[in-house]
Amino acid sequence: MAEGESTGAPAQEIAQMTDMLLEWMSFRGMGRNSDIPEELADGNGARQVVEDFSSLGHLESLNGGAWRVTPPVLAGLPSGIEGKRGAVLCGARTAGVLSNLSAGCHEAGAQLTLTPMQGCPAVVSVTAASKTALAAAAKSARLAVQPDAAATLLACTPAIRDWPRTPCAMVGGRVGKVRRFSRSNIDWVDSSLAEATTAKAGFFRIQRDWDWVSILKTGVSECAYIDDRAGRLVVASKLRAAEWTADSRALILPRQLVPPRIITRALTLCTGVLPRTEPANQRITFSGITPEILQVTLAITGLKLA
Amino acid sequence: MDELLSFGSVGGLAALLVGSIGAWAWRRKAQRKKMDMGEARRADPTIGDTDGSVTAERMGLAEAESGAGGAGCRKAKGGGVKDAPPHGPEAARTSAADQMAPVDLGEVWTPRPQVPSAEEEPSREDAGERSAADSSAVPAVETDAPFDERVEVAGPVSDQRTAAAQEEGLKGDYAREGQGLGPLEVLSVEEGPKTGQRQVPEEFGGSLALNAANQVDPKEDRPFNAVEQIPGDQDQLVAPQPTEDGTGPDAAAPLPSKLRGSADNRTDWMAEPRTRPDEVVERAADSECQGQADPNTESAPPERPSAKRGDGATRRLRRSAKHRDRRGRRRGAPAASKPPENQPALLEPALRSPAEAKLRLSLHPIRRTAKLSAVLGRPDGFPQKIVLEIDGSPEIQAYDDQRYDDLDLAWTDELLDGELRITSTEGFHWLRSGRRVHIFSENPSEPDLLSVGAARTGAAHTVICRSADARAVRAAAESTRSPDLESCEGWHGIPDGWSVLSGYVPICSATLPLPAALRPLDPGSEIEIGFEDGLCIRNKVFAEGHPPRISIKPEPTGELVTIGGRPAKRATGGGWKAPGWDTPGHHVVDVVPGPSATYQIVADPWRSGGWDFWNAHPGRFEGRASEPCAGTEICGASIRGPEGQVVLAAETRPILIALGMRSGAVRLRPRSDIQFSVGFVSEAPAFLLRSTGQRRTQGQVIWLGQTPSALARGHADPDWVTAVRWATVRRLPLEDADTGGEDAWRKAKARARRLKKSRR
Repeated sequence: MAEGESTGAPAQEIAQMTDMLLEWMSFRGMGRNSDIPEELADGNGARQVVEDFSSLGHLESLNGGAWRVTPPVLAGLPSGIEGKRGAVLCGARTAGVLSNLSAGCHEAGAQLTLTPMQGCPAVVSVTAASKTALAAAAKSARLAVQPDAAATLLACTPAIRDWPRTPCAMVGGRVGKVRRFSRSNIDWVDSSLAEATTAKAGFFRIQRDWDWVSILKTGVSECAYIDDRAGRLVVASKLRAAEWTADSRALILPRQLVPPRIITRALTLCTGVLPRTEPANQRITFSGITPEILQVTLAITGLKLA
Repeated sequence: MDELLSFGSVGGLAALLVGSIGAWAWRRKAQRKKMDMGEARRADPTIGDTDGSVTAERMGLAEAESGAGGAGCRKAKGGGVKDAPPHGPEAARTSAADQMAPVDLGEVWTPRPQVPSAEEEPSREDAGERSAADSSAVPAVETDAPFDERVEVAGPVSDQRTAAAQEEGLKGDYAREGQGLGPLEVLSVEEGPKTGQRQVPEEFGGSLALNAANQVDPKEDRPFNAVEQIPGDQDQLVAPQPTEDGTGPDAAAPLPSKLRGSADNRTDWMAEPRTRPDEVVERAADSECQGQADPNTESAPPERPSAKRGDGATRRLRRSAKHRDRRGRRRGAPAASKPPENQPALLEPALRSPAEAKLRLSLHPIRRTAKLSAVLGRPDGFPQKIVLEIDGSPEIQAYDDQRYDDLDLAWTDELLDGELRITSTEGFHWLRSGRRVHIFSENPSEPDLLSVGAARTGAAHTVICRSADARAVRAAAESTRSPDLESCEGWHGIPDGWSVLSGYVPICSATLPLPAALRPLDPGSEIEIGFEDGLCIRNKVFAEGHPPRISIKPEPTGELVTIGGRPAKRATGGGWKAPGWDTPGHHVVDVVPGPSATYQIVADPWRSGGWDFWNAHPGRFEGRASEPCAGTEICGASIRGPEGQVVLAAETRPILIALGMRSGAVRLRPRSDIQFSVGFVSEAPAFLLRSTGQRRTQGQVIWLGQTPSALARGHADPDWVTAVRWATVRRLPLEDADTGGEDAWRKAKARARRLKKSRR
């Protein structure tokens, strides 16, 4: 196994803890967010851990605050990255998986790289000179390969305008806070239940006695529950909020317009690294986005380049 | 005249005397009748007769449960428990009143045998005599339980047992069972031939003995007539029976006091842990479902008692039960588990370390027999079936993943003196080390008693030791504040010179240091075993490769520490280790004397088949089920078709065809909302034919680099031939291809050309 990059002792320690957490999850198989040991989460909340691991394709977040580990797979990176064929290891990760992959790479002449990351498991990537070598390494390691995982995921993801939603009645009675997602501000603004009730369109978050609900209004009397991220993107449809440069191949989005999980996972699997968040300007950056991926991402999200 | 006067006076006096006596007797009788009627009315208007029996008419349903025991009288329908009717002399006084007592068919009272207190209760040896002697005064028994609930396990009774019972003059359950009657019967009573006094027929005189047989030990909560196993015939279900030499429940041998009881049978059955009522019902139900009836009653179908059938004929409840031998031989076939492909090569049997062999002690309190069997462990890699290298070369099958079926042992004088070694013809070994005292305890998942390494605080144990050591063992038990041990003296199966002492419940550590050989008797409650560090998946369950650090506090001084039966040593890190302590499986840390603790090392899931794929995002495309993308299943970074196909996605082009290496051509279908096409390919494609027009520059053949192992199909695919020929004719360039890709495309073109010519 090739040596990975190191960013210092603390980062190394954190990376070990998150690697240990992924291994713990792999042994456990499934569980609830509350089951996640705090000492392995390394300060991150269990919900954040599940979110990050889900974006990396290691697990799937289930309803009711639960998670389940996905089978290991070599997710093919978009073609043309560094002129080679590469893939990152997603899903369950144990010593057995890594040892098999290491042996398979050695046999097929591929290079296995383990890059420690801060706050998330190390990125295990396989680089081969050709697609044939990459497939041979995966076959030798008895791992499945998902060619061009990002594009395939996006191709199998509905557009935001068609995102699943559940028709519902408008919330009535006593409620707590009511917030509306502002298209112009690309952020939440205070609102009222009366405004939400009379509005013809908009995306509202309403605090009920026991929870928050996200309601998308497409008419005065047409309400529907929808995923919170999808609802925001519905409001921001055709908004010129995305930035992308061919040189950096970085897709920059407002933090409030982070796509739903599947789309985020697809964009993450362009490099296998979590998107970078910039608190200063409230933006999030996905790296390694190829023009092809950008095109389909914009088509699905409904955003436009600024 | 004087003579006449004197005769007349004498006669008058006599008449007066007779009259006085008659009047006195009449008044006395009237008073008694009044008093008894009042008592009877206060107690119950349908109190039974002197003998405690009732007529069928008065019983209404005329159902009685033979399993009832204990003092008291219970309502057959409704009502609560009330005092028992008088028996014996008192019952005789009330007989006249009973005859005049009003009959209430709606509320049936049935007397139950009055069981004496612990001091005055006759021992089991008297049961038969009492049954015979009191046959005329034996009360019928009945409980308030619905008949459907009163299911008992009735099993075949050997002729030998029947004969023994008859020789003992029993007319109880055994005698009836010998006639094909189960222990649970509906008793009917007949009126006396002349006096009208209700009498229990003689054939039911054994109900008291039957009750005695059904009595439950209040300490053990175990009905005496619970299902028992007969050695060598474990598939048969039998009720308790006298042993061959008459030392059974009705034999002359006194029954230990702990085996006598008078508690309500039904109540005790509810609390009975080993043969639960529901288990009994379940067994009976199983038997009914499977048609496995009691051999003795096989000729007649199971008969359900009916309230309308009060014709006095004896009715029987034939509900035999299927007994599941939890020791083995009746176990279900273990699920055939597919061996993981990447499981490491197994060691040669001869190179394996011996597996653990435990002992199972079966104590039969009714037959007063003791029996030992070996329980051979089945670690990973041990086969499903083994043939042992002992007399007869018995073939032993696996009971489950943990152990094999029991191997019955002939308990000889030397059996427990040394170590027990068992070898199979396949080369596997089992070992139980020699020890001076053998401690047995109950295991919730196992029947009878299983050997344990050391005693635990608060748990009941049975100790086997040499008779010479019995005194020392008793002293050790006293040192741990255990109740007095009960000896199974004279029990069959225990060789001379050996003692079986039951009832050892240590409360605390031994106050005095015990001899080394007796230290397993010391629970050593002050020692704590801890598991630190490691990757703890669940409580005391650790991941392979991340075992816990085993700590023992305070530091053992002289105690023997074993892990998995192997001596453990303190490692440099402070933990205790032994060979194989960190391998997958269950491990037992045993401190002798002292506590024991278990932990488990979970094998890497990768070795046992890995993780399952599932569709984590169903219903993404509501209302667009016709599009191919709607049928895809997503799990993490994996995308599959609805039937596990390979999903191929590409930017939409007018011509977009996935080609296999030798056959297979699938056109990708475009999505309606975005410029992307998706196709399902049952086998991994090798090429993607992409074109926007007829010109050479408008198309490409893209090498996908999939391994062609599953692509080779023998038959010619016309679509594939057409697509390859179309690309060949237009000389579409091959892109993203390495040497292997170029070679594959060249072969594909040649094959397509050949197939096209052959079609012509």
